[in-house]
Amino acid sequence: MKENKRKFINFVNIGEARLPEQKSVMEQIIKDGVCPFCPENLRRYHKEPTLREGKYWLLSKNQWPYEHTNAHFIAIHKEHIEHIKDLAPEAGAELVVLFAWAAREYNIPGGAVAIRFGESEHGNYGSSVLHLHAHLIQPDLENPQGEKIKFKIGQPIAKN
Amino acid sequence: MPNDLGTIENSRTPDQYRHMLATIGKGICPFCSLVLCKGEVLREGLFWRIWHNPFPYEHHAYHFVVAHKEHKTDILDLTAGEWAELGEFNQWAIRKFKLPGGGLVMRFGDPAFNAGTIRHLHAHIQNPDLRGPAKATFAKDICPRDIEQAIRESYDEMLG
Repeated sequence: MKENKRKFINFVNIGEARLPEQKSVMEQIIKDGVCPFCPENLRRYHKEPTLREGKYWLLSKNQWPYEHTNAHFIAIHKEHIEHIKDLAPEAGAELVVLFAWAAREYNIPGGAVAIRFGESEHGNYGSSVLHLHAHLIQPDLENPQGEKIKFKIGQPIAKN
Repeated sequence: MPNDLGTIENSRTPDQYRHMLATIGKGICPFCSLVLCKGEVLREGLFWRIWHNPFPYEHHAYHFVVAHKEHKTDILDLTAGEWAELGEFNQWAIRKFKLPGGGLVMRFGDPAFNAGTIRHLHAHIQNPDLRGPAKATFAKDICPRDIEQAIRESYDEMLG
């Protein structure tokens, strides 16, 4: 199990929870003091089944998909890393293969892939879970007019 | 109105809109002609080039564009070698500029589903400055003709 030697925050960032149930699960994760995406803990907190598995990644649907999306998949790196600089080159290639499979299997006409990485004492980079994972998102274009779908990448610490 | 080279209405600022009119609006791909980055390419490989995004998103300390050297538009056309080099460029930028965190983003497919401006395949390496919220837009409002016209008129008025 990955020991939490982090200086600033837990394995999860509860401020990024979007839904009450998600927040509740994250509170439990903080209490348990573990990383929810490490393989030994994954099934305890992540209820979506694994769709595909490679040497480096597990692919599943996002348990709490963003609002206004028709498809939202995550690929979870099997080893606990939190920064892109620790990613093996072969892992990048495998990620592409997995996402290409998902795009074809689920007929995804377009969207984006995104990976957040790192942490800071000055804020967060939008991740609810710091364990490296990648997103494949297809927006729902039928959402109410005026609603933009934005992928959060940075948020400063709120000043009181 | 979208065309094969890009979607001018997805411009985020008047300056970007003006540039899009002068390039995509005239049938010129700015990533093929390097209009945006001539003389400012930070690194060039077999398949990709990287430069600072001249229209960085709000609240970013660094915002790089990594664009394919050929005019490719379909993410599924990329070979394993091309993906590997893209990963290597990501790592290079993160190490050279000591990026503590942020996001890697790549839009794909039908531009209606990703709010992209330029169809020529490219990735974003984003490092927020954590002084304000930082995001990547994946979908915008459904834009009927009258709203498109209003956008053009407001930008044209701003630009004089």
